[in-house]
Amino acid sequence: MTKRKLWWLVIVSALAAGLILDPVVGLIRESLHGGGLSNYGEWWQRTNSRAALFGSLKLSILTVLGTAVVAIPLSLLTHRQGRVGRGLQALAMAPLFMPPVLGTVCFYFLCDRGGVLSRLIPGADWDFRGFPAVLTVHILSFAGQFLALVQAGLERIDPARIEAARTLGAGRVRCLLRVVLPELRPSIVAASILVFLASMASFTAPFVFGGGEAYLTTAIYESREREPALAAAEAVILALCSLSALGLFARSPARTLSTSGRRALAEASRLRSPRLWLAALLAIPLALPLFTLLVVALKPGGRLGQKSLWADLSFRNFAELASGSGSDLVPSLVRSSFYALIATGLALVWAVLLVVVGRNAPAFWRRLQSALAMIPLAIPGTVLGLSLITTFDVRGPYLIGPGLLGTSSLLVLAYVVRHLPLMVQAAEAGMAKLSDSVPEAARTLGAGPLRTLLRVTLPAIRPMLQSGAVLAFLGAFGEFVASILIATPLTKPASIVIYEDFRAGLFGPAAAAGVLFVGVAVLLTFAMRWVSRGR
Amino acid sequence: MTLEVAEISRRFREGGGVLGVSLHASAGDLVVLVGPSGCGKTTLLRLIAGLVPPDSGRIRLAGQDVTHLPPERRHLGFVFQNYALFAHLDVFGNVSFGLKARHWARDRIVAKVAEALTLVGLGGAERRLPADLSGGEQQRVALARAIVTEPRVLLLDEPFSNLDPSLRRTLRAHLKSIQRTVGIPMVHVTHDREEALALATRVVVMDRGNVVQEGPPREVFESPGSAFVARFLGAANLLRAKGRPPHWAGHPLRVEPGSSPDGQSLFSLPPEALRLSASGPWTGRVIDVHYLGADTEVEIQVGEERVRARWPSQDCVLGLEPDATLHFDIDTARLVLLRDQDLPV
Repeated sequence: MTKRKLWWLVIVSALAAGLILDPVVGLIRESLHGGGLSNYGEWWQRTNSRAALFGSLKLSILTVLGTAVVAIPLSLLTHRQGRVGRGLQALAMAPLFMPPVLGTVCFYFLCDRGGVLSRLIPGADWDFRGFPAVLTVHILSFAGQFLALVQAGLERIDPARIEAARTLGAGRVRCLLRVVLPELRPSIVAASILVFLASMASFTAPFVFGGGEAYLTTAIYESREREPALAAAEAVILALCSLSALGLFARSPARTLSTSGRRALAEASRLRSPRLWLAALLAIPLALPLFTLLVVALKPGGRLGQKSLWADLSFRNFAELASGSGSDLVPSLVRSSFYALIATGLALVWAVLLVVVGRNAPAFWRRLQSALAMIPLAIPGTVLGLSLITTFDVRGPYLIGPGLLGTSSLLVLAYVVRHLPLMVQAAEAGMAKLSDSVPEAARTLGAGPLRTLLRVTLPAIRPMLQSGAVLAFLGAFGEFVASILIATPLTKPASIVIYEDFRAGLFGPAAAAGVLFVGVAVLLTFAMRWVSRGR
Repeated sequence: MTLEVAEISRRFREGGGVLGVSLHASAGDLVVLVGPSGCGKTTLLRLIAGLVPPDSGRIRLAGQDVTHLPPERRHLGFVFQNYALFAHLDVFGNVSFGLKARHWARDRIVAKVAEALTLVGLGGAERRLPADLSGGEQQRVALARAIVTEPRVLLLDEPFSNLDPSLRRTLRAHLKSIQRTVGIPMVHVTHDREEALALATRVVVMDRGNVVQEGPPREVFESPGSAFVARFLGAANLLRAKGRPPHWAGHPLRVEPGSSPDGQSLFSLPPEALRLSASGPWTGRVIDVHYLGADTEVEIQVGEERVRARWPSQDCVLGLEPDATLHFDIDTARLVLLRDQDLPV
């Protein structure tokens, strides 16, 4: 590694360390305010606080189990099942495109008394509150994420290994238990940890449907004004739980064997196949929130009313959205798009610098850098928001605070830090697929380091960067948790306005905006896939 | 146009590397580096290309010291084992990459790319993407990309290893003809003995970071300087003889070479140097018979040793079957005394 490259690496890594670690250190310092570990002692003394911790842990463990029970069979049932199988997978994963706050509101319209479910299934008229409600929302929301990872794992299994097991006399069940599931283990572990982290960090569902139940994220939100030091202690405990899970993820063995590179042929998909019917039974509930969003967007004022589900459907909400009258929704949508775009761009540049510049760095440095970039994944949005406020209230990293407090820049910074792991993972995945010899070939052909980066390395990893950027953009656009803590009335992003409109009973235009957003996101993803395949 | 590598060294923390290797290649030379995995062949190639910095030593290209120049300023061509084609660029984009990096004019680039593609037999494939090419076509694009810039030296790192034998033979012939056309020094790394002997104007055998023998292919193949070279090239039998004059399998070898103080000597003997002879002093039992087309290879157990003989198939008498007993003699003129006599046989 050349000296110049080393300097670059040090600068980029120091910037990352400052912006990621400094707020965390500030939060820890705040949690120790008032003398040593007294805040932690006080936290432990309170029954409610302990209940919040155990509530979050119980919810997250059951969410992981629930999503696994739905996603693994669905993935196995739809794998290599042609267009119908792929269609069912897409249906199950479509809710991933919904911003979290929109998804949560949709669950309210779907499951609550008088909601879509009670219209579709007679007798399903219940009060959708409390632990079972939050768990249901979590399982249906995160199953798509779990499914995507398991599906990627299944794609990586060399079909020759399954064929080898079959020729050795293993039946379908034995093949599944002794070959497929063990090969899927790394993907299942990764999916479990990610869902666990997402569930621990989840704020919107516990906030809206939690009822009397206590969870760490809502507890932090509630105590941040009255007892900031206690809130900081709670945030540190939540971050520690998540970091421990992330540590487990890093330690899980990844046994991989190179594959033959041959792709399995898809079996002919037959609509009458019982396995596809079973898959449909699992996939359809996952898509119900999206269906609900569509129905609500077409209902006058975004209210389901007392009439049939199919009555009074119109595009009035879309027209109202287009006219931009009344609510702050349209300006907030523009603001959110702007924030998300800038945050995604910054995260992209940062991730590329970290991964590409650090490629030839010593192994320990790369591990350190990778771990550093992954820390925001383990830090729930509530904790991140709080830590940024705490830090920028006094001084910022490299003394760029407290002027940022209350500005949209802090919001963008929170989005950048929060979604950096996605971009780093995307860049790392791209670089892992890129043979060292490709940029080396460019160098031997006379291209300097910059030309090699711009003309060879970046175009080669572009598909992965695009996927990461879309996910980061969607995440930043719909970010609710950090936003609710950091945003001011002047910088309010769309997620908060949608939530406020929902509370005020003005959900129609917000639902219409949600439908358009999901539509654009799906189209964008398909367009990118199409472009990538074309190359 | 010459390549001179003087006492170049590079050690890796995890082991392996190149230890004080020197190499010389002039215009028209096709130097083939052979040796077992991890012996430093590829590292030597990467050192020449500037992809790995050396610990010590010097590299000169056409008289210019390039030891500390970055790869892009050495003006050489490199063909990678996996071809390293740019997947996002079509054939034209790949082949023209080096010319664009050198800021050639567009019309000159078009003409030069067409010329290079014609040379490798891929004229008209400009708009195809690497993913749409067969392995052989990808290899030829990689070759065209490397030679189009008229490099001062061409380095090839096992470029044929992923191809089937017949395609390998075709491309080998192609490479030889290209070498005659462009006339620059080439350094080629391979594991394949047949490829090394067929291509090379000079073979360099490496072991554990050192050059252990170099010379014209016939000389290295027929007169290996050590048991390692003999065994690596895989053609020769190794005979451990005892006494003065040396005896092997109970019979004198009728040579007077030097031997170690304890009277032991190690010889290499090509399989063709064993002759079927009813009056031959050695008797052996046939272990296996391998029909190789024009030749037949016979494995023979002689006392406690096993040797291989190779005879023209048309000369092989009927009855050469496993467990048959045969008598043979040795063409002692083809015995070569090896230096490293301590190596186990």
